[in-house]
Amino acid sequence: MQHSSAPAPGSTAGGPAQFEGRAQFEGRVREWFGANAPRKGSPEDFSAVHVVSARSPQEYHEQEEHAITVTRAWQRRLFDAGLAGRSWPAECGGHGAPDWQDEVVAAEQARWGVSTKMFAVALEMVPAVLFGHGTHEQRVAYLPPVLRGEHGWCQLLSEPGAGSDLASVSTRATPMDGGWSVTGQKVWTSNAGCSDYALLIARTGSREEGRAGLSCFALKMEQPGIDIRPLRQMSGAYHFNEVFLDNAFVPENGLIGGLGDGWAVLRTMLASERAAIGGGTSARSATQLVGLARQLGCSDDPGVRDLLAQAVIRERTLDLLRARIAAGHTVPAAGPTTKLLYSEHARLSADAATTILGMAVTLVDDPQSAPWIERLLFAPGLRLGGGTDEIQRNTIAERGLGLPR
Amino acid sequence: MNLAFTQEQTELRRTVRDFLDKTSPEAEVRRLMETADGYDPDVWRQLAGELGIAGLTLPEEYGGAGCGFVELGVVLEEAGRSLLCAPVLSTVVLAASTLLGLGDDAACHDYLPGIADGTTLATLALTEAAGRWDDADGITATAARDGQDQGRGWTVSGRKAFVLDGHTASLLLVVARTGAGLSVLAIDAGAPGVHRVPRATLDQTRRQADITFTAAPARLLGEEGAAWPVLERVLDLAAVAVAAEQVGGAARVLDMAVDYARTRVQFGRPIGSFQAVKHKLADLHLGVESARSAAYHGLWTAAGDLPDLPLAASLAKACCGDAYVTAATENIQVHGGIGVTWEHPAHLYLKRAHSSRQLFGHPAHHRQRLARYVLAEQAATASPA
Repeated sequence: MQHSSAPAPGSTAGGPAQFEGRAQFEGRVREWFGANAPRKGSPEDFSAVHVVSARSPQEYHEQEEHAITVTRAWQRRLFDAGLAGRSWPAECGGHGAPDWQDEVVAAEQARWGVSTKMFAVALEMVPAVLFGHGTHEQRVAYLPPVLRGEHGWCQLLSEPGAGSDLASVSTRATPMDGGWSVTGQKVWTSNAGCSDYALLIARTGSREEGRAGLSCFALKMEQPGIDIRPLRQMSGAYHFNEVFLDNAFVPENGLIGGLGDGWAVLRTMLASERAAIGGGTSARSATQLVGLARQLGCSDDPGVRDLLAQAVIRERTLDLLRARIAAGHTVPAAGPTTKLLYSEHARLSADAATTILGMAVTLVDDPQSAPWIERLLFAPGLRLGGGTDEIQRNTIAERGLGLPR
Repeated sequence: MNLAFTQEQTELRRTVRDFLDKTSPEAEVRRLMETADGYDPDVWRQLAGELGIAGLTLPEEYGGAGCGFVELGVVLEEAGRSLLCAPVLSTVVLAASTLLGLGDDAACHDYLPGIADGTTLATLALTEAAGRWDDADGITATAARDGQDQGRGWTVSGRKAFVLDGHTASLLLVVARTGAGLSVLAIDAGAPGVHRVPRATLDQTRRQADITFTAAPARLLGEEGAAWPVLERVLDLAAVAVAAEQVGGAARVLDMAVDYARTRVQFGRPIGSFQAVKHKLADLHLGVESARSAAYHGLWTAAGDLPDLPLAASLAKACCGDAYVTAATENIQVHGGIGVTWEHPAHLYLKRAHSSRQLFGHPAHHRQRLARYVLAEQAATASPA
C-alpha cells in the first residue's frame, strides 16, 4: 500500500528506533509474538475461530460476535505493542515505516495462525480508499480507531440489480440538511451485523449518468433506518447479509472523494479487495492435501500423486508469482491474475480432496472430510467475491493484454 | 529467494534479443530448417564469440564468463522466443554441465575451452531406443578397456537414440555401462566405430540423431561407475534450462495470439472483443505467468546450487512443458484457418512445444517425481506420533 503522507515520528513510545533493518525488525516481531501470541490449543488460541456454519442466524451471530471480540482484543494488543499499521502515517495511528514492515507482521501472524481477517475491510480497503480519495480529516478520524481494534468496517456495494454490473447501483443518496439521506437495498455484505461503519456506494446523480452518477460515503451502521437480514449460504453459514437502507443518514463530511467520484473510489476499493484475496496468505491447501493422502494411506497411488503434484504446482507457482511481483517484475494485470489463480486453486484443490476422500466426503460428520467439505462449499463464493472469475478474465484481457472492449 | 534481475541480466536480455531479432527472424529459421545441419555456423561463432553465450556459465579458467544459471536462463528464454536454431541445449547445457559435474580436471581443460569459444559442438548421448531419461537400469551401451594407450583406453559399444544435435556434434559424451556401473565416456564423432543417422524430427528447429557405437575408441571421464548421480543433476539443470526456453516460446505465442485478436475483424469487430476469445487469452496469460514463475525459481535454485534443485526442476518442467503446449495449441485456434497453414509460424511453435515437452521427462513424469519429494518432505517434518 502506498501512503503519501507525512514521515514518522522519531520513535514509538517505549519502542525501538525507526528505520531499523529488516532482520532486526523481524527479530523483534518474532520475539514479541513468541511472548504474546496465543499458544496453539490454549484457551486464548483463536486460530480456529472462523465461523463455519450454524443452525440459526442467532447461533451464527453469537459465533460472529465471539470472533469479532477476540479479533478486536488481538488488534488492540498489536496496537499497544506498536505493531499495528507500521506503514501508516503517525497522524493516522501508524508509524510511517516502510511497507515491508506490515508484511513482516502479517507473515508472523500467519505463522502463528492468528488472524485479523474479520477486520480485512477496515485494515486493507478503508486505508486504500482514504489514502487514495479521502481528506486529511477523514483519515485522522476514521483510521486510528481501526488500528486500535475499535471499529470494524463492511462494504455496501452490490445490490439485487447490480452484481457484476456495479455501475447500475440504484440506492440513492439525497441531499438533506447537514448531509445525505440514503435509501435502497444492498446485498452480499460480509460482517454487516458486527461492523461499526460501512463503505457505501450510492447514486447521487441520475440513472442515465451511469458510473458518473455514483458517490462513496462512510456510513455509520448503528442508526435507525438500517435493517440487516442475514442470508444463509450453502455451507450453512450466515456470512452474508442483505442490508435495507430507509432514510439512513450520512453527515456532510462522510462523502469520500468528490460528488460523482464513486466509480474511481470503487475501483480502488475493488483493487485492494482483489489484492487482499489473491495476495493473502494462501490457505496451504496443497500441503493439507498431501497430509490427507498420507493419513488415508493412498499416497502411493499414481493418480492421487498426480492430483497432489498439480495442487503443489498451483500453490507454489502462485507463491512464486507473488514473490516476482514483490521483486518488481512487470506482470500485466497482477491483481486479477493472482486473484483468479487463487480462486482456481481453491476450487481445484477442494475437488481433488473429494477424489481422495471417496465416500467419506458424503458425510459432514466425518472429521476427516468436514474441513474439506467446508472448502468445497466455500470455493464457489471465492470465484465471485471481489469480482467474478469472468470479470477478472475481462480485466486481464482488456487492461493486461490490451484487447478491445 | 529474491527473484529480481540485476541490471546486467536485464542488459544481457536486451542484447540477446536484439541479436536474435537480426539473426534469427522467421525467414532465417525456415531457411535453417531445410538445411542438413540445421544451424548457422556463422551465427554460432558470433553467439559464442561476440556474445559469449557458449561459455556463459563456464569458469573463467576454461575460457568462460563465469556467470550463473540465471544468465543462461535469460538467453534460453530469448532463444525460445525466436526459435533459435543452434546447439545451445546440447553443447552449453548438457555437455558442458556433464563435463563440469564429472569433476575430471584434465577433460575439462581439454574440452571446455573449445566449447566456450564455439569451435567444439558437443552433446550428451544418454537415451536409448525407449527414449527414457530417468532409467539408469535401462541403459545397455557398454564400455570396456581396450588395453591400448597404456591401459587407459576404452571402447564403447551400443546404440543411442534421440541424441540432440547428434548429427553435428564433434564431441560425444556417451553414457555406458561397465562392471562398476554407469560411466560417461568421451568419443570423437569422427572416430572409427561411430555411425550417426540423422532422424527426421517433428521440430525441425532442433535435430536429433541415432548413433551406433561399435567398439568405438573412448576416453573415460571421471571415476568409473560413478556417473549416474552427476547425470541426475545434469538432467535437473537441463529441465530448468528447457523450462526457461519454453517460457520464451509460450510468451511469444501468447503475444502472437493477442496481436492477431486485436486486429482480425469478423462480424464487424475485432475478434479480441469477443469474450470467448478474451477469456481464452486471459487463461493463457495465467499459464504463462505461472510457468515463468516456476522457471525463474528453477533458475535461481540452480544458480544458488540449492539442495532442492530436483524439486525445483520438476516443478518448472511440469509447469512450463504443459503451459507451452497449451499456449501453442490455442494460438492456432485464435488464428483460425491461417493458423493451420505451413506459411504461418504457429506450427513451428506447436512442434517445438510438443518436442520440448518430452525432453528430460514429460510433465506427467515430473508430477510423479514432485509428489514423491513433497510426500517425503512432509514425512520428514511431521511430528513424531
